[in-house]
Amino acid sequence: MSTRIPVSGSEFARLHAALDPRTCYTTWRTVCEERFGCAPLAAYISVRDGGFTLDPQFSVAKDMPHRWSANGAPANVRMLEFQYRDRTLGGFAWAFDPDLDFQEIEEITTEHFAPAFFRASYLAQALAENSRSRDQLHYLSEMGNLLGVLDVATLLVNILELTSGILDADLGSIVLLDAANEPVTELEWGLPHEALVSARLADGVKVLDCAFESREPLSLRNEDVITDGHFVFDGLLVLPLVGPNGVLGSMNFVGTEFGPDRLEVVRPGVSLAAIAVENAMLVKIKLEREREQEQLALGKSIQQGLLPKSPPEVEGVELAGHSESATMIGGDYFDYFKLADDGLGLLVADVAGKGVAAGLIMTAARAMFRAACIDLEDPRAILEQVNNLMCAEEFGGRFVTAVFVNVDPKTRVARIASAGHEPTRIFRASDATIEEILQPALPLGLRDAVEYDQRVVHLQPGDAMVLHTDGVNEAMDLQRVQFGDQLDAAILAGKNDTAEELMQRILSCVDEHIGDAARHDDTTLITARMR
Amino acid sequence: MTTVSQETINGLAVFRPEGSIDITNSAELRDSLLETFKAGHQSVVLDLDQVNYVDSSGLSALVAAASGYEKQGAKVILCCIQPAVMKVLEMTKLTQFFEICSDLNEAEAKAQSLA
Repeated sequence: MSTRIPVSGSEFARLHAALDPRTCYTTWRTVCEERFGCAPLAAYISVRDGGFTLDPQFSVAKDMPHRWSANGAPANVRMLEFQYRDRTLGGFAWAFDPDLDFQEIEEITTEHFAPAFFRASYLAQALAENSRSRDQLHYLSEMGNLLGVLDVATLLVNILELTSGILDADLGSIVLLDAANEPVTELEWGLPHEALVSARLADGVKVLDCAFESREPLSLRNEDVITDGHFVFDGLLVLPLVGPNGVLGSMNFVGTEFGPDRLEVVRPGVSLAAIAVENAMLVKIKLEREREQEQLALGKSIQQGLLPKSPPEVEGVELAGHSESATMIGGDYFDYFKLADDGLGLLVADVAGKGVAAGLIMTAARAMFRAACIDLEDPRAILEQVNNLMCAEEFGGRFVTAVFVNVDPKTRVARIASAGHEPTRIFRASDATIEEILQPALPLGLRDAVEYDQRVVHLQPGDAMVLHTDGVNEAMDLQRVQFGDQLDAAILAGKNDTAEELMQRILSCVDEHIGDAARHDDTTLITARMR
Repeated sequence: MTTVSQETINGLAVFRPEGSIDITNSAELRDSLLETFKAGHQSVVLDLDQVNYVDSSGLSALVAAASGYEKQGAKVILCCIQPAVMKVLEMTKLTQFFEICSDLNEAEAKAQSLA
């Protein structure tokens, strides 16, 4: 056995001077070579990082298992554990020519190489962490600046640019979920929508669904992703954008290396990005709603403009009319005008449904009635013509119920025709009773060539007629009880009212009945009092 | 309307809406009825036993569904109609768009005779 040579000053200095683990290792190799005339046959070094992991850059013999059983190692192999303050920091395994002095090698290794190596590796780790924190802070602060960007499109471009820069991604896209929860690619930088949405995991689950479900970043290697073959992912990273109200979508990247380090850099910033996107989307929705409301308000004012401003002055008949829609745009309307035979035409109509579509049909119906009344004055003929005109249009199953009255102010004879509308109510002043003119018939616009029934009613001074839509008698209170018979009670109570007073009385009774309940239907009525 | 339960009895689709058929749910009901037809069912039964109110949107939706069925030679069969709903159907004479039956047994027999 040769005499052991202590570690020289030069060896000591070289072993302890190295500041990075790679230099440390090569110095150890060189020292061993110089000392023993041969390099280690193999070496394996693992550092503690949650457990022992092989650091491949130090593996000089790929076939050297990184874990042997205590007595399983060959004679020329040594394994050492390096501890510092009772904590295992790492381990070595190395193999030398069996003729060498292992004790000497062990001494150099454990006394000098190991402390230097672990110091260097901790330094390297700290530097890496420092650089990661710096990148993380940079990403966070840039993302924080984007919180003020309220334009969704601009925001998405900025977010994708920033994130793909940090991740060093080749391609990317941002996907947002639409109202039906379907992913829509809002921004595409070389990553086609079809390729992304069709990408699946080995178990057949769609990559996007998996990421949305877990709400966690999903990093996949090429072999983990099944595609339709047209697009090859080197590596795919899906970062779900999870806002305070749930998953909004995801940022998606294609690149070669999305290691856990880079993921940690972007993770906090991605949450911030999601908040920024959600804010911008809410602002967008709010602006859209405001614009929509403006349009609806404009529609409502146009619709109100189509209602008669004031009743025609006709001797012998007092008139009042009112229409109020439950929504911005309603489907009800009323009209009154003088007819060619000097009769007074009264019309109340109700388009099935509400909203813009009903409003448009109401406008068309009003024009059809006005046109019909140029040549016709018989209510039945007017309804029949309007019905035929409406049947020629395609209103998608929507129909219009209407009642048309022609009252002769001189003779006080009223002719009444109805197309499936609420019955007209006649108040008889002589005996304070109410007569209901029920005329079952198909509404307008469903079948052409319908023949409508016409009723002739002789009125007396003091008698009143009330034409209304179902929004009056079917007005519901909070308990969903309908106004119903209270309409007749109001008419009877207002037996001495003018037409205007009677209308106001009915409207206020309806309001009182509804109470705090929401108005569910348009409310329209005409009152006529014979004088 | 709070719910619409749907079941298939001897191959016949039966819808059971509850509450109201109105502006808030009529389009959905119409679409379900038309979807059912597309799914290969022939006539469909609408059991209205639990429906106490149908507004004009509801009527419009039922008529639209019935017209869709009629074009293909099939029918929407209404049964167990409550008086308040019947009153509206009669006032508007919309009964002619539907087969009207007093109860479910009659509706099933009607559906078989139409098939």
